[in-house]
Amino acid sequence: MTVLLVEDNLPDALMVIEAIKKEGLPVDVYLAEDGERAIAFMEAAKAEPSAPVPRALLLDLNIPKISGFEILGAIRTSGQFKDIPVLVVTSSDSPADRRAVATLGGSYFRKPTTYQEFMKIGAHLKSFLELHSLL
Amino acid sequence: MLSLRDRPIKQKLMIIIMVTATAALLLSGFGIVAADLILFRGYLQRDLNALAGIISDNSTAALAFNDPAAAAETLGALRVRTHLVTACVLRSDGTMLAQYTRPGPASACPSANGLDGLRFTRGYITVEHPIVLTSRRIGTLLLLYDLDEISERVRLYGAMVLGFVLVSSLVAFLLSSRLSALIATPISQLVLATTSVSETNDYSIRAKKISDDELGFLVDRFNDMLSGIQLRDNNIRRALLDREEALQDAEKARERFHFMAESMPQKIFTATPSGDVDYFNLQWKEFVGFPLENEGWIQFLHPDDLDANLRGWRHSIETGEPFHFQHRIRRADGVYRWHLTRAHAMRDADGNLTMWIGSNTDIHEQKEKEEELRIANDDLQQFAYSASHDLQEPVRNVAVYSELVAIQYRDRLDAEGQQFLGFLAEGGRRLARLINDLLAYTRAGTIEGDLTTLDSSAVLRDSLSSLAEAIRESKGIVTYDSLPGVYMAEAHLQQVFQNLLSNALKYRTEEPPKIHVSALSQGTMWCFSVRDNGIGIDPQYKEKIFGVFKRLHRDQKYAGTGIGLAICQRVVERYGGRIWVESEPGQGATFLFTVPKYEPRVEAGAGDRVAG
Repeated sequence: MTVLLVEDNLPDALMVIEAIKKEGLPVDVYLAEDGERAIAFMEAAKAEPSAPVPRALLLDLNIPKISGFEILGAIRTSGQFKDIPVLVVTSSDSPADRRAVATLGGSYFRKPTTYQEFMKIGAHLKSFLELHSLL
Repeated sequence: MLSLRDRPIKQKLMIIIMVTATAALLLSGFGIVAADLILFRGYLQRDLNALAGIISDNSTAALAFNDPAAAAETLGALRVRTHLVTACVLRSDGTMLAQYTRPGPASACPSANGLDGLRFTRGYITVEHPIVLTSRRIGTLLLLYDLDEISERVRLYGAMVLGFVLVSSLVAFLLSSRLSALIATPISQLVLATTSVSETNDYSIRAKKISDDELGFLVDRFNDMLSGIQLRDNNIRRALLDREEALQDAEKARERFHFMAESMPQKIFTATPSGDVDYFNLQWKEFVGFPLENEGWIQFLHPDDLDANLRGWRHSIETGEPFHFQHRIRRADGVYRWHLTRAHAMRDADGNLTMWIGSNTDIHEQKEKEEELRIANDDLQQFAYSASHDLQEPVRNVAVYSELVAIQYRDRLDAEGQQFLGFLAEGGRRLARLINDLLAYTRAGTIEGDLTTLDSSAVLRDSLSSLAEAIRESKGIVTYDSLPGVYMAEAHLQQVFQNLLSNALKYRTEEPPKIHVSALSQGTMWCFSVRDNGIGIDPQYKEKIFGVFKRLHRDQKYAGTGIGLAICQRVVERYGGRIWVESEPGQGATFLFTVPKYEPRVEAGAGDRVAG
């Protein structure tokens, strides 16, 4: 199962991948380091039959070029990925961001500041995928 | 010459008394003289008859003997009667036997007419008396007596009466001039008093009472009347004076108001109770460039503010509530400037609205400064937010990866290397927490999203569930009463609860923490209290603990950034509440804070509305 991770901060991206690995989830994680690449990845999935099709999105909000919110907004209005499960992984603790994400039909995971906590994203993602009947 | 009618009463009285007295004296004088004359005449008649009888008797012999000498001798005895003019003895044939004539001019004997008795002729009395001898008439005696005696008597009496009249008139004059004063003086006093009153209008003058008679009564009544008039006059004067004063006061107040209004830097206006503006001060004229009248002000309002302005003004006029409004007014050069307009209703003693007094204060600079400040504040907030937000990432990486290294590369590091890595990890964690709290602090001052009435019990339950691990670890017991609804953002109340609860759990003694949350009504606010049985707080730090980064405990036992209470204070003050602590060292602490019960009510038409 393909999961697209949109994250410009490599250390964070590696932590997420580490957590997924530790949890032993059967997913292939593709990394898009900015908004443009994330959009391009999904366009390719639509256009090319051989391209991997993401089943879920792990999305950082604060990314270059096209922000996480813009990506989320764009997805929700486009045909194929309209209902794709999105787990927002962000360092933001702002209630406004939480509300905005909820409005756009995303789940929320705040990046923690300890290694132990960070590893919990694995379990979180697992239940998230289970919730959307992807596992 | 004054007629009697117009003379003064005193003179009248004197004249009356004198005329009366004189008339009485004259009448009585004449009466006495008349009576005397009548008596005297009777006496004279009897005397003359008697005299005639005596002479006749004495002449009988002389006549009988026809002896004229004897007869003359008898008649000669009449010499003593000086008023007897002549006396004649006539024989029975009418010839004269003898005649006596009084010395002086000769006088003829009156003629006998045969009738015996007395006969009055002009100025004389003629007595004809028979001379009888043995019942036979032998002759006649004729006496002519002049009446000068009577004239003398009349003259004498007349002179006496006149003398009396004169003397008595004098006495009457003296007496009357004294006695008439008895009546005239009180009257002239009265006259004097009335004259003074009518000439001076001084109603305090009183007529002098001299007697206790009708005039005294009259004086008393007159004085009573004057008192009445004086009282009424005084009342009228006072009323007039009061009215005058009131008018002067009103005029003064008006002048004072106009002076004040003209000398104020603000624009001032007044309006009738129905809202028609009837006065604009000089500043209005100077601001808009020409004198304003009536509805003239409306054209100078900014079109965007106009509707709300007129609505608010109408509302105030209908309800009498004060009018407060911020809006733009066009200056003579066409520039709109922000003004704060206030108008208050003036009422009389009965509470009736008499007029509106309003001011327009130029708040343009203030408004601009406020806007600048707001923008600067927003920028600062945004900067703090972005800064701490952007700081989070690298700090997190340091913290997380130093941990990762410590875990994965433990075997390859010596003891010192592990210690240094420990410092790095701890520093990263502390930095991450600080940034996190700073973010929370900046957010505590702003409200993101809509405010609603929250069920504070539910918010407390959420806070407890996120603190579940800490509660479990400390074996703490948290209890709470049924908690009310409050009007604030959920995230804010949660921040307050979480910080206070985690403090209560953190600063505990050896005993397991016991925490109780309750709320009491305080007017429009709820006063929440979070009571614990922890280490307590020294009263000298009661204020300090709410400062940013103010920690009382430096040791590792009580981990934290020292920003939690500052966040609580910022949140609570953002809602117009306050937060404080009641505590003694070793006695536990009770944190109290107040937050609003309801949405703050916006006063219709009275609140400061910002248009545009």
